[in-house]
Order: sequence, then C-alpha cells, then structure tokens
Amino acid sequence: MLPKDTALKSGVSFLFLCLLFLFSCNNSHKEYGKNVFSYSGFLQEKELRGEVIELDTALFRYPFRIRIEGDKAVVMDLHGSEHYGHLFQYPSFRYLSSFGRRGDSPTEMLSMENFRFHNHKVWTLDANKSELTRLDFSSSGDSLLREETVTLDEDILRPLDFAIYNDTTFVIPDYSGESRFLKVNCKGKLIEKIGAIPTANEKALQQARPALAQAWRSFLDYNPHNGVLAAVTQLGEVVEVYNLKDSTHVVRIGEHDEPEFKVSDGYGIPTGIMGFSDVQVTDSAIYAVFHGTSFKEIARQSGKLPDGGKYIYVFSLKGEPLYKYVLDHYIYGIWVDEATKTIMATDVNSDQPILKFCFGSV
Amino acid sequence: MKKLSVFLFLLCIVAIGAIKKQSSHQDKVSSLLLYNIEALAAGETMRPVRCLGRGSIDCPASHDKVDYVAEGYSLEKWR
Repeated sequence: MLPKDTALKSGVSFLFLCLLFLFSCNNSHKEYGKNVFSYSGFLQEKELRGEVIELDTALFRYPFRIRIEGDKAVVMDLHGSEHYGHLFQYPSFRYLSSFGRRGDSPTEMLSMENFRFHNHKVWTLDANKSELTRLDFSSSGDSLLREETVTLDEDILRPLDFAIYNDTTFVIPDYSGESRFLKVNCKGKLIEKIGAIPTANEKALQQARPALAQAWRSFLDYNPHNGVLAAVTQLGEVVEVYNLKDSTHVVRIGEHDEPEFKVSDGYGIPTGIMGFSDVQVTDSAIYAVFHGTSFKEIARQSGKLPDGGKYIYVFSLKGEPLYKYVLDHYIYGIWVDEATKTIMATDVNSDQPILKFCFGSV
Repeated sequence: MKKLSVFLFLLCIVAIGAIKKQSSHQDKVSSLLLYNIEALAAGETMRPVRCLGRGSIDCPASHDKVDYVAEGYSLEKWR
C-alpha cells in the first residue's frame, strides 16, 4: 500500500472520530440520577382468583378506594351521586351509613379524592374545595360525623391525594411541579417542600412545569411504622420510595417508562398508558394496582373496555420488584391485610363491586 | 497529508464551537418569552382540551374525573 493511501485512510478515520465526538457532545440522552433504576420483571408471578362479596345495597357508581380498620370498612365512590363515602360492618359488609354528602353548601363536598383512617377517625380530602375534613364515629359506631375542617393554603395547588405523616402533619403531592411533595400542618399551612419530579425530560422541567406536574399525578401512601412514603404515577410506570426516617429515596421505572404527555393550551394531555391506580405500604412491602392500557386504545373503544387494572405489583420497601399478581377481574382500589394474606379490592365495572383475593404464600 | 489532518481538526473545532454558541443562545431565551410566543402562535387556531367519559383522570380544564383527555375538536387521531 502506498504511503499516500495510508495517510488518506488515517485522515478519514480521524474525521470519523471527530464526527463521532461531535455527535456524542450534542445528543440528548435520558439522564437520571444515581437513585433511579429500571425494572422489567418480577421474581415471581402468580394468578389470583377473586371472590365476589355480595352486597345487599346498590350504592356505587365508581368505587375507587377501600380501607378497613377493625370491624369497619369504608368504600369511597369517586362519582357518588349523593354521598362519596359509605360505611360497612366488616367482614359481613352489612351497610351502615353514608357520609360526605355531595353538594355546594359549606358542610357538603364538591369532590372526594381519598380518605384515611387515623386514630380511629376518618380524614377526607376535597380537592375542589381544597379542604381536609375529619369525621369521628358516632357513639354507636354506625355513622361518621363531621367534626373539623382544615382549609388548605392558597399556595397549595389542587391537592389530588394525601397521606397522614403524624398527628399534626399531612403529605400532599405538589401540583405546581416545583417540588414533589408538600408537608402541610394541621392548620393547612405549607411547612416544607420535599424532593423534585424525577424526570429526565429537562425541556418540560424548564418550560412546562405545570403540565409536567399534571402528567406526574401520583397516588401515595405512608406507613409510619417503617417511615416509607411510596408514590406511584397514574400515567406511565414509575414507583418512588422515600424513606422519611433515613432520608433515602429510590425511583423504579418499569418498561412503560415515565408518564407520556403533550402540552396543549398549557395543560398536560396524557398520551401514553394508564399506569397505577392505588398503592399501599404495609409493614413489609409496597402493593400497587397496575393497568397498562394505552389511552389510544381507551379512546378507540370509547367506554367498551373494562376499566381498571388486572395486575397487583409487589415491591420491597426499597422498591425492588418482588411479585406480580395477575387477577381475573379489573380492579381500582385495594386494601391489603398481610396478617390474613388477603386483598380487598374494588371493581368499577360490576354491580357487586367488592372483591376478595387470597394471596397466601407465593 | 499533515495539512489535511490539521484542516479536518480545525473544521471540527469550528463546528463544535458553532453548535455550542447556538445552544447557549437558546438557553438565554426566557421561558416567559416562550410562553408569550406560544400564546401568540396559538391565537385563533388554539386547540381546546376535551375531557370525555367517566373515569379517574383529573380533567385539567374542568377538574372532573374523566376516562381520557383529548386535544382539539375531533377524535380522528385516536381512531
């Protein structure tokens, strides 16, 4: 080979390397922090069959949440026509009474996003009135009576979920996108901002933060025994685990990735998939209901698809994927009792909307 | 050949410099300015947000809970 050819060849190689360097400098990679991990599978998978609990009342339009404490069960109806909350005897599911009357008056509710048991009382959240309300059990224990209302500060935008941190503090997702969660005291005042949306979408973070926060709407749960606050995204497949005792934070992103959306008129329009719909942190694990249905398919079927998720994902308290339960019903809200290895769930598609799953040992 | 290598090297430096300059210029554009440009551009062709069905998605416009949110007057793009 001629020396001239060799020189030309090395020149072309040099040019190729320069171009490679040039592109690597300008390509926009998804860059996550060191505490962000992806997952694509679970250690074990199991099918669970649901047992339908027969109710003697037809109360529900959209049973969204279920919680049980002692011998009482509360089921929340997201689209309740007269009341948003219904109290039952447990485990018989004998209807006792309803609470959270729908209406415009000061003692009525415009919406109910969620409710929580705390110290044998019930707290409810009305996002449209930006209010938290405490209800106490009557002396007979058969009804819930409105006792206290906390109006949230005006700088707390649209509170779409809440968890009770301790006797005086609530945790609420930050809808402004400036942080991830807000700690709010029992007077409704903002006392602390926690974390940031763990997105790799730098452009949205800089230019469309409110729309980003809408797309990252998350459901949360906090367990004061282990200090774990878990948040799951309604769009996409992101699980965040904050340990508020040791201040660690882990993010797990599944194969459906982070929430997908586009910005229209300043709003975040969902474009990817419907992700999680409920989460519970028990003393030993995190349980979350997962849907996985694309919005394209939901719109194409226009109401013909069953609403809800057919999967319950179980993560460790550090967010490691453990079990995947495949269900024979589409469900929305869950209540996990690890002592009896049962999961109570709500099904918005059925007139008999309460289901019981036994998960035993996997 | 040495001249060619030097020429290619300088060409790459100039290209990198030009791209960096352009991206730093983009950083200087304030988000307020971008919002204003978007608002002006939207103008009469603004596409409204439509919330449909009954579900658990929080409609950003009406604050109702809906099945899905669509952009514009038509659902053609979904079909």
